Amino acid sequence: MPILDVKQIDAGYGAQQVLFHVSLTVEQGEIVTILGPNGAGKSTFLKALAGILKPQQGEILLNNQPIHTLEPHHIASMGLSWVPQEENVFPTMTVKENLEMGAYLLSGDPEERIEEVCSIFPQLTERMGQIAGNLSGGQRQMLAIARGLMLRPSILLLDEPTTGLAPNLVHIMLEKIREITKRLGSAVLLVTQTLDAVRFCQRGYLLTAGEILYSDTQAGLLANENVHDLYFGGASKV
Amino acid sequence: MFDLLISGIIYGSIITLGAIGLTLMADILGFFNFSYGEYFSLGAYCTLLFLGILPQWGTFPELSFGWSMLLAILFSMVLTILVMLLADKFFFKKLRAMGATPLFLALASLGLSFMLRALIYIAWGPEVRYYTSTIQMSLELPLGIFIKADEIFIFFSAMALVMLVYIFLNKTKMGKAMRAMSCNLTLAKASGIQTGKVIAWTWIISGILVSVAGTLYAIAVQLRPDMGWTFLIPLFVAVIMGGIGSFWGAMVGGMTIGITEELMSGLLQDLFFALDVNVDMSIYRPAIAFIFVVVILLFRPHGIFGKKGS
Repeated sequence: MPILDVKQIDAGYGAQQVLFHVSLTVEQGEIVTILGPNGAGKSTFLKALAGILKPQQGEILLNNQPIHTLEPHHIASMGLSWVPQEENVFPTMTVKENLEMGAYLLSGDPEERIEEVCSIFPQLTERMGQIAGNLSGGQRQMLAIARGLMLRPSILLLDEPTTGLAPNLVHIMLEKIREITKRLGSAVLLVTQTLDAVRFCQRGYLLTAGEILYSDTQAGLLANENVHDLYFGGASKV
Repeated sequence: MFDLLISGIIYGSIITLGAIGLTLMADILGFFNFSYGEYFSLGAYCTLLFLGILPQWGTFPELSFGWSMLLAILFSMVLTILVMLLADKFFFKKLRAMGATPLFLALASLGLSFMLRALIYIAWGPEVRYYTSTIQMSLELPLGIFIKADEIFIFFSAMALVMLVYIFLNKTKMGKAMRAMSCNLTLAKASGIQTGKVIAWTWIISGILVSVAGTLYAIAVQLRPDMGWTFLIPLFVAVIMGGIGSFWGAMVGGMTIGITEELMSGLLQDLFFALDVNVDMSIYRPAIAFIFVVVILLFRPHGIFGKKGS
């Protein structure tokens, strides 16, 4: 049984429909990517999953429970955590306060969880008192993911977590994402525009103009001519 | 000169109290609430109401009031908060659900302000009122400063409340959630923060601050049905000058406005008196505040502690 089961959802902003009958599944502990060019609807799709945007049609099941009509805080409490591409930290709050906000739904002391996420991102340990808005791009991205992990979600939605990072940091970040699935058992749904990220996933979907055009395993995606032709114009064959 | 400075600090402490509540509302609810001034009046009048109901247990040494005043403030706080929460439930919440813009919400709050003020006029009448008819003697301090014990109480209780709000915002889970929501609403929602609860807490904290500020102002000056509407000017000026959403900005803005208004109106009054010109400077006090804020905003468009885009 998949952790996340999206069935034929339509979503958009007012009269402007962005997603058309999108279906997708994610199994426990799996890393699944959504590839697609700018404006394909990738971020809109994640917003719909997180409850920020209500789907106009279709069904979203998390651990077999429907979530498409629920408020974002309900969805977070059920084990889905979303890390947006931009504005993904609370800039005027400290690193520690950001992590505490990630654990807002926990009833007890979040200290143990903070230690847990800091064991994945040790760079954050020495910056606990620093204001998040003053962190570098890489540190901020780590904090954003760490905040998303504070509730030990069953699935983590990452929206282009490597955008704007230096090439050496991209690899480190992708390794961290792999570590998350191994250590915490969380599944990851990763939105990306780079083929590098595909090497870290088990399966992937190609989303263009709001529709799933193609889906396959990692090997299938990397070898597929459609992916290269449609997404990379055939120029960046790996 | 020292007398003017001291009364400026006391007046500034009341502005600070009200400005912190107003800046929290503007930042978290996303609009300038014009009805805030009427809650200021309501807080003061509710204290008067409960003072009339509660038994009189005498006065504290040097002060013009006793335990009944402290209890009346507490009850007034609860009643003011209740009115504010009802206003949100039956008015602002519905407008938010309809997707009302900040400008629309501000205009709606202006309408509510007229309604509340009319109700205060109906309930208590247009005449000026006082909590006590006792004449209080000033205490003489070094440097030739004369100050009433009530004014010392006003300053220290305002500052104590400001500190408590600061601790609440920085040390409690709900306080941090309020800051998070003012920082990034979408991320706050996705982090599991229940925005409805945070909004309710914003009304509660602002209600405590504005009702106490109203009562403290009435202890220092008097009760008038339009007191809140008039006081809204220095409150807005303090919030805009300090930077919308900034706790420290509201504090610095409040104190600056209080001291400047007192000093400038006092000194100009003395000057006109020396020139044998008959002018009552007290009616020009709001103008002094506005001139000050215009000068500050020319150099700091987001206010002293404001963030870009505020």
